Amino acid sequence: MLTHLSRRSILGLAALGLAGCKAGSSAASGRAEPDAAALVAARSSEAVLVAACMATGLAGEAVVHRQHLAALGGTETVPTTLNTPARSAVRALLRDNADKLRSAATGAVDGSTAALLASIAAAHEVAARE
Amino acid sequence: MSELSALKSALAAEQAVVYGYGVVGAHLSGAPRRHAMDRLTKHQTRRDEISALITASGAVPPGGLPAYRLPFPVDDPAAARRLAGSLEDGAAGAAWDLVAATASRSPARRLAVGWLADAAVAASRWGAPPAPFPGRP
Repeated sequence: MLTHLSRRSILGLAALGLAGCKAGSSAASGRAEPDAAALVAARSSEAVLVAACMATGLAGEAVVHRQHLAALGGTETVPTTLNTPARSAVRALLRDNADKLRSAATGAVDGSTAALLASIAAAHEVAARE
Repeated sequence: MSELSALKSALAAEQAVVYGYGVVGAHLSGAPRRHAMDRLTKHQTRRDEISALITASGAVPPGGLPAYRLPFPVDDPAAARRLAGSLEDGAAGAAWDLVAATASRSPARRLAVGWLADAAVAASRWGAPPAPFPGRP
């Protein structure tokens, strides 16, 4: 039937017309106004995570959080003084943040915003378990 | 994409994942096989939940295919684990689409948000490299 494929076409799903079915811009511009508060909160959390990862020596994870921040339409600011957190504290921060992002994704009015928030929550969930 | 279209696509994805986990389980043993069977059960449940949502909307859930072509040959445990990671990656993609297509705080949105995280964690557990944005097209 089919061969491999894009991430979402898995086994035979390309035949079902899934490819390209999602607009899904990750840019924050144009998002529905009702989600502005959720995006501001998500950007703030990502900025904290960037700073926490850098302070902890988790440079690779900091790169990922910068990607999240950019997708949310944020720019990194110079963090204020941040005590060096333990890696376990960073994991706890990730788990807590994942919970908040899932809640925000559930309530987001704009579908693209919801998907982005849910995806970042999923990434945090994965990172928290590593 | 309408919510119903997204639900039907998600159902098709889960039907394929269920089929795929049958293949995965056949090539594993011990704890990895048990984990594959746990995932199979989870995806069967998810498939049934999506089917119920489609029925509740007044539509008829499409049936799955009798067989699916695998994305690559699976003839040893390593390939089976890779397939499992690929299946979960695809499930995350279907969940992304469903999140995007559903209304705020709707039952389908709530489920899809959880499914996206679940699939991403499972893909990672099978050894798939972590994605910065799980499920994103």
